[in-house]
Amino acid sequence: MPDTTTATLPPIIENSVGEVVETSLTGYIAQTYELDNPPPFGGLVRVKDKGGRCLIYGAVYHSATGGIDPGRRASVRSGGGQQRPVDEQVYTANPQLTRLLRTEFGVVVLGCRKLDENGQPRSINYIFPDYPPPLHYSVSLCQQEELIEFTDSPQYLRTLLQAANAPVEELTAALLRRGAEARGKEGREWLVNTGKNLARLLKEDYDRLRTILEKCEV
Amino acid sequence: MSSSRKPEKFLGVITKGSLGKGLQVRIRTHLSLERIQTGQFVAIECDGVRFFGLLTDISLETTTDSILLDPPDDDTSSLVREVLQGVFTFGDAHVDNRLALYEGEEAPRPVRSVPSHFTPVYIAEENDFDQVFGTEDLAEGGSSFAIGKPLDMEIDICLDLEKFVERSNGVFGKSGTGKSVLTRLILAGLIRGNICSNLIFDMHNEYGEGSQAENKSGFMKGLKPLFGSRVMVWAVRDQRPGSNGHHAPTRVATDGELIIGMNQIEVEDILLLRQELDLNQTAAESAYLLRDKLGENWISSLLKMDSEDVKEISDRTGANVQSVSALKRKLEAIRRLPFVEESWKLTNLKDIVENLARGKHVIVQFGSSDSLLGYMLVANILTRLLHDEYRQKVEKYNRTRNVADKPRRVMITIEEAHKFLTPEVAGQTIFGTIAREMRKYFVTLLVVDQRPSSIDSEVMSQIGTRIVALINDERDIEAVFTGVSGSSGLKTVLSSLDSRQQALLLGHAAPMPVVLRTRPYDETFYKQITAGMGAFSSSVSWEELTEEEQEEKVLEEEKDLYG
Repeated sequence: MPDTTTATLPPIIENSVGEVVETSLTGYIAQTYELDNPPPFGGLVRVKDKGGRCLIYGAVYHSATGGIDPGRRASVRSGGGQQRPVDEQVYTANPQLTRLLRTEFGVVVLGCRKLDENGQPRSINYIFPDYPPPLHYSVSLCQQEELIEFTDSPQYLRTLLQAANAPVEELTAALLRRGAEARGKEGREWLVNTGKNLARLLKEDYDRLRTILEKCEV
Repeated sequence: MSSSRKPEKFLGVITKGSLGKGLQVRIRTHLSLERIQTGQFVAIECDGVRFFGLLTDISLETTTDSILLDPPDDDTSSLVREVLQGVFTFGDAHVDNRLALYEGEEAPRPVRSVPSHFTPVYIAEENDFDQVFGTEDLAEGGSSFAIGKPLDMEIDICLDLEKFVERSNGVFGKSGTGKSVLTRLILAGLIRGNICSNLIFDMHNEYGEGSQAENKSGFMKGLKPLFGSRVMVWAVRDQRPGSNGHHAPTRVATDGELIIGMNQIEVEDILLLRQELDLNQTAAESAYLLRDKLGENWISSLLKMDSEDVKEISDRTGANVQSVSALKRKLEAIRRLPFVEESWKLTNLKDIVENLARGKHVIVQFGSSDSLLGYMLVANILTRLLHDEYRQKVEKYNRTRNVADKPRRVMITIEEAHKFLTPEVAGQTIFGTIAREMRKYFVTLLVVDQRPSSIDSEVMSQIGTRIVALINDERDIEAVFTGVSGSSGLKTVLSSLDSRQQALLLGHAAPMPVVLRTRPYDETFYKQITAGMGAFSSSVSWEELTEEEQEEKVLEEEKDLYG
């Protein structure tokens, strides 16, 4: 587990939740700083590019916890008996576990935003960045305002629908749910409009559209 | 063309179409589909051109069939329904494109081009109606007459009366849909504008003094109370002199009584009445033989014959005895008509024609004898006479080319027109001739009918302006649109009209087809139509006038009567 000290980090990653451990232009895997504390499914996260001139946005499509040694599976430490610890007590009883286990999450890249000379963000572009997110850079979970700004335009939907390896219907629904929730009262209207845009993309696939929309209303 | 249209009037964009088949418009309005009605007038805004059309149909469409296999039901979330609307499911409007107004031009022209893809389409606003239908002009000689309003707007739709009288016209509609109100409106407009003389065969005594309004306790004024001395009412005699009839004459004073002599009845009249008299073809044809042999008084001569004479005349003319005696039997029905005399001079009929030529409007009433037989006989004889007189007048005018000789245009209003214009008789009767060719002779028809399918299609195709109230019968709808191009869309519009006070106006005198709410024929209308008519106006009663005004009116009426 890398040793991180928040004091030296710039304010842009104040909400950082993990670090990039495997990267590509279309998506990356990050490991969380804290065991079992990944960003939520469908959450919008961002990471800086190498020059620090660009923020790369993506959505969390997967998270998993396992042993640091991929060849070894974790073994049972609690038990049915009363003498033995259960659930959270297992971790208290075995403090070394936080070092032996790790939590990873996967992110699909949806867009990026350039920063100007003063480090001020420009408007969001729904295109892939020039370079993939660098390894070991920190990943931050976006605040509500940023989520609202990112989801104002429906252009990310097509990239989202084409994401490989991701449960696309679930992911889209999760992102839409978050977008609607962040908007409060106006969430419903936004959901209908975004839904219409989604429907345009899924003109030939009514069943898929319906599945997604039904999941949006939970 | 500069567009400052209200966003709520936006209907959608053109997606495809052709000049012949009309345009398809993807509805993109925020209004729900349910609120868009057919029959609406629409404007299409292009670069430099503004098109006008009629919304004739709306269809429900989907982008994919899978939605039809598994349509959203009651359990489906409202989100799904909302999202589908406008993307997976949408409405297409069919627009019949009719007119084009080019930038810098005053009046729109018939279309010869189509607007390009994705041109915005708007529901027409008041301005558009003004551009296309003009504004009402009721002054003497004014030819623009407001006949109604659009379905959803308070603005006049005007009929060009000058153009209207150039051709024969038709008012069609099922019984009780307001045909006679429409007719009365048009006649009032024509009389007010003094566009032409009108000869009205008033079968049900509605146009002269007035009639009871349907569904209302009101009373609808006729043309006589509205226009006073401009209108003359003639009545056919409905009782023989000396007969003590069951009912006293109820009619108010008329300008004259009509009597027909049997010497004025021609074979052609009998042929027209074949169905009413229940005559077969041979009997009718033997009438020709008798006419040739017996001359002008052939009917009275025939009726006086006994069976020996009938046999003899049959032998002499080569007619079938049975046919001749059948003819004789049936002709008795004509003799029994109260206004038929054995022999009578043409004076009063000629009087009517003279009055028409002088610019008067004549209503012929049929009193209590509103039998079809009498109606058809009188109408045919009078019209035939008018036809002959006008033929001479026009020939004279053509010779002299003198403006003073130019005959005054006459429009003949006939109800139950299909009786005169069935395919079997239209070729022979005078009404068929007028409908086909009399435009050249300054005589046109206003056909009022509830059964257009019974009218000869050759006649129907010559009808200039059609005003059609609700019709349901397939064949009648088909008939109404005989000779109208691009009528398939209009059929949908026609069958969706309300049963009262709505009509489709199309043809020569209207720039484009339009659905309208008929102008109410009420006190307001009486005031508007008689406003500024001075002595003609009878909306002010005699008692209300001052002595001077009374004197003035007497003088004016006198002048009007005796020229």
